[in-house]
Amino acid sequence: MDLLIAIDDTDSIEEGATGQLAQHIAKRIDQRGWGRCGAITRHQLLLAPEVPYTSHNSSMCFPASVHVPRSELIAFCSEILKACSAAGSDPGLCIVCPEELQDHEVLIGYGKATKQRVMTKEEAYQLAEDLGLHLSEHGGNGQGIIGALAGTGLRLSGNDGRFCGKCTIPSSHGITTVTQIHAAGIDRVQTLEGHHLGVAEPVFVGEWVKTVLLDNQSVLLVEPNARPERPSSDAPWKACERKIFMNY
Amino acid sequence: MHQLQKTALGTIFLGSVETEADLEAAANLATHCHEYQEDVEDEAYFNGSKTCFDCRFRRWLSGGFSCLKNFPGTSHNK
Repeated sequence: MDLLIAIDDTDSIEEGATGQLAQHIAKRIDQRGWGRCGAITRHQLLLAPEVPYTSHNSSMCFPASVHVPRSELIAFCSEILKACSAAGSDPGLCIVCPEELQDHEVLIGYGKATKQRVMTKEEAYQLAEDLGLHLSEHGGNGQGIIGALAGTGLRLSGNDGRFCGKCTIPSSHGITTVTQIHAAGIDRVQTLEGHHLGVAEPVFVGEWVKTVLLDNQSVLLVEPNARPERPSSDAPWKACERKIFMNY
Repeated sequence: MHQLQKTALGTIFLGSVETEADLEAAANLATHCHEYQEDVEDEAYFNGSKTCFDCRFRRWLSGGFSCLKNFPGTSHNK
């Protein structure tokens, strides 16, 4: 059974990080031998004063291919959320089986709308009921269900957000090739304008890179290397500066 | 520091990571802040540089951020 699992609002001003908690849940599922979890993506939601987020209003989602009853998985994730969420947080959990969804676009549309306007818990619960998804709150005011539901929709879209964590690529003085980048598990290397690099092209990647989710792939964004980081880094391309991720 | 502006919502840093003056202002604020705490890796954008843009206590808004500690070390905190 292939699922998407998303959580949101598990941190507080002083403690916690939703990405780390998502990582923890994924790791525990793997450790139990229940199946395999994929990479976590972070999805930016609406930034507006009237939305009660802590500091960045982002949701975390990951795919899981599991062979345990869904009720058992839900109970397990709920326990972890209850035990590990920060005091004062408003955690939400959403679990979706995309194969069972008759219309992906409704959930994707909800995710996109959550980036544009203020949503209510009532809307989220109604949609979850209409689509037959699992959506639950685990403390506080439960506002996290909105981001959790949106996270599954945005991940399902295949074109939103960035992957959590760093990806290290074997290189010589920070320079490698697209072939090596592929070997490190990154599906594609392209410019912001959408130009795909050829497999032999050299790219300055430094010590590590981060990737974004485009067309359901992990994509490394690059730009022309106009100012080499050092004399030896004369690759024609370099990984985009990290601040570019504010747009993903 | 013209990036800090008082609004109906409190004091807000209006600026972007694309502008040198805003980057400098955010770095300057962080340097003089006793509450500064770097956010987790997935929420940071400047690889360890001390800047409000990467502080755990900044609250992103469209066009900038507010400070959950109310910009310590500035007149806005009084």
